[in-house]
Amino acid sequence: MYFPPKRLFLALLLGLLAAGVVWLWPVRPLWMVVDTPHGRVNRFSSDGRWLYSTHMPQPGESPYLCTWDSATGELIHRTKVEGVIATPLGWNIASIRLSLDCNSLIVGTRSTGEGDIDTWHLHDAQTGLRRSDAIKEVAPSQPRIGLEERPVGFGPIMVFEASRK
Amino acid sequence: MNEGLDIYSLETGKRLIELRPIEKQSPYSILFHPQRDVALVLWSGGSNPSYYQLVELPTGKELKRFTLPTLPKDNRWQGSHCWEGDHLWVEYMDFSDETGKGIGKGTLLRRCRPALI
Repeated sequence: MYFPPKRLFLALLLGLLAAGVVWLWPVRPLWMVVDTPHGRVNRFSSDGRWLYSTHMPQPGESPYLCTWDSATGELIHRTKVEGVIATPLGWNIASIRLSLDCNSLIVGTRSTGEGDIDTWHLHDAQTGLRRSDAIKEVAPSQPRIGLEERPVGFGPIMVFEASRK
Repeated sequence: MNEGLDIYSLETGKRLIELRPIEKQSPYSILFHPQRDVALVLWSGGSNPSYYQLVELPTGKELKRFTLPTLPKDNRWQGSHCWEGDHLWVEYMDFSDETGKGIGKGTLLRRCRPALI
């Protein structure tokens, strides 16, 4: 099969151009947020549209949940966890977790301000309002929340290891 | 021996099921059936063989139980993450240490067994 030299040259040029574009394409995140308080990324919503992060507060303030547009990085909503205030050293708030369905926040606190987590509360992830009594007598380890296997006999659940306390 | 497992509602924060140690055996892990109102609880500890208990939800009533094979020394059943049809994929951990200095390399091994349901 014969290829005219002009065509070969054009193909080579296009190939080099494509390789150059790939080579020089900047590798960078889709978006970045800087200067946020200490926190952690919790999860994406099931449709991938939202990204959730929880943030520990300064002393005297409440922790909060941030909802980000995962495509643009725009902060859509900031939900304050009502009724939870950080002590001067901020050690009373030990854990904030978001349920798999992204509807509930599970907040673990230390009533003595230090040591193990001894109390958990449920909060509504949309409003931040507390919606359960204190959950006690559980081991300080993290709860397993809304296991991937969806129990049919219940609504969403969490499993704690029990404690003698 | 742990103190047991508790299942709470994520909507109300109320405890729905309380599983506590019985005769030196503790509920070690729990696995929910993906479509049915049942769960499997792994009980282990003590000198008796580990076993799975099939419980009805949300009552916690025992429907059936089956014993897992006895493992070599320093091996322990860990639980399962996979329940397909009438088969259960159960994992055990090898805590043996070639140097004999206690808990070892923690090799994760797998064994397949029918769930007998």
